Amino acid sequence: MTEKNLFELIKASDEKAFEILFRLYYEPLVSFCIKYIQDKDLAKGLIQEIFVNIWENRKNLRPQPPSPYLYRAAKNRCLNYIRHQNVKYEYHKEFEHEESFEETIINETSDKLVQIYDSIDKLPPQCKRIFIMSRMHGLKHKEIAEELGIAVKTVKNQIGKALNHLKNDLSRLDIVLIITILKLFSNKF
Amino acid sequence: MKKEDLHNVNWDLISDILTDTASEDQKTEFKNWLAQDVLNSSFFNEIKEIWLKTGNLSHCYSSDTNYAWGIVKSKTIQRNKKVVKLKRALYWTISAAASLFLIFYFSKNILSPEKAILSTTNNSIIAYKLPDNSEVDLNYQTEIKYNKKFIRKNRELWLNGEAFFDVEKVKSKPFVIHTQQGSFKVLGTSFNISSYKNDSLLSLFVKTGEVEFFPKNVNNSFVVKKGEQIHYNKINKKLSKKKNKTENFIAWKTKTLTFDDLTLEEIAIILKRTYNTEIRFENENIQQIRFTAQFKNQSLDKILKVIAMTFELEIQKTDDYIKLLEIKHEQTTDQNN
Repeated sequence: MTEKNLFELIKASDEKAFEILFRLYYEPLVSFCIKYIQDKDLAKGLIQEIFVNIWENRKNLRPQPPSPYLYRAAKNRCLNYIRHQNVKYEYHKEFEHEESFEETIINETSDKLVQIYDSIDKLPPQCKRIFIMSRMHGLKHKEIAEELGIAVKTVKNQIGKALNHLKNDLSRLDIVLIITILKLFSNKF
Repeated sequence: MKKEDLHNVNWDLISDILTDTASEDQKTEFKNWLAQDVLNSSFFNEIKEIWLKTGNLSHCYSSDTNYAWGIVKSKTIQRNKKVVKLKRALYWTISAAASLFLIFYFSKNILSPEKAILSTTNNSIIAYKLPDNSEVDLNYQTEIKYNKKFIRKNRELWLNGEAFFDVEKVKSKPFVIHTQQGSFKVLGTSFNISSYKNDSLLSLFVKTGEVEFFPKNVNNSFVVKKGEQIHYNKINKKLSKKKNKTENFIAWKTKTLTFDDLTLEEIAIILKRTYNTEIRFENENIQQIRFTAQFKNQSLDKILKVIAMTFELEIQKTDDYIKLLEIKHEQTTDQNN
């Protein structure tokens, strides 16, 4: 699974691909929207609508990189919203012609991100769970052990197992390049 | 590093190093392990890179994303599944419903007297289909009663509160609604009646067709047509009529609000009807601000936020009402300095 064929998979009603697309882009798109409408709850609602819309109209999706499509959709929704609500927003005009920086950054990296996500997804369930708790939610080894009722040593071993799996799965990727781009990416969000 | 060497890897140590929780002793141990073999350090570097890379995906698993995914999933992937499940469940529902119906039918005939009662509370509204296929939506704190021989005799019901009716046309059987302030007679039409016991004002908004209104103790009737709205004061028996361009009147049901150059005071009345929440203003200047917008399926909070943002107002919530205030000027100057 790569970023380029996400839309094709979704068109064929692949639920996994739809979930990856959502998880990968939801938060970056919400942050992007907040620049326009400055209301986090509103932004969340608008972005959720975009995804519901994609799924409902998946049969009409054209195979294309999702990132520019999503950011364009997000921008249009925000501008429509602003026009619609008649909110006097002074930067409104300015935004319409601005080529956003995020669009290009995401474009370069998300293909790798999809592969990493996919690799994590393929981990054995318990191993995946522990790895996400540790790496993604930043929980301490001891906290994970307590939560799951297992030994701290098991937690650490499972994290090792996960890393080793991922290393083997992703070894074909050009690591140096990714790290550089990912650093750029993480600075933005 | 070859696979068979893996069991020599001290994952305990490595995960403590990666999560930055290693003790001084562990750090020394780690340095020694790295120095032992070039393969060890290249292995560790690869692992560390994986660790860094995966960290950039943490937003995919955040609680915000999880929560939003739950919502989107229920509106997309799960929606289709529900339909399938419903079909499967239908067989059981039908047989269960059949037996329930029998119980209901007998108990109703034996136990309950003449009337069926339907009611809503302070924070619930319901949609209901009457025995003649007419549809009724009840707003907050509303009650309707009807005769159980509703279809066979005449179509007659009693209303206290506010309801929207979509009446099925049945020739020679008019549909009659009685309220404290008067009665309504229709054939096939849709309309909204607001007639709460404690309100002196009754209002009727006709969406389609015609409704005939018979005020209590008055020897006269009034025909109200499509798009028209009347207010009737039961105390001084005054009736006013106006054309209504928007359907704000039934927004409690349609969840669509259209404000076309209305003052915030007028908007507050509409919002009160729609969301059952009172809105007050700090002063008259705010009341007279004019606002134009359309909202579909938005919460009261969101609508107020947009208004507050547009006119730079502050929202203050209490248990009983929400108040809109001017943002104090001192604060703004402070911030500027």
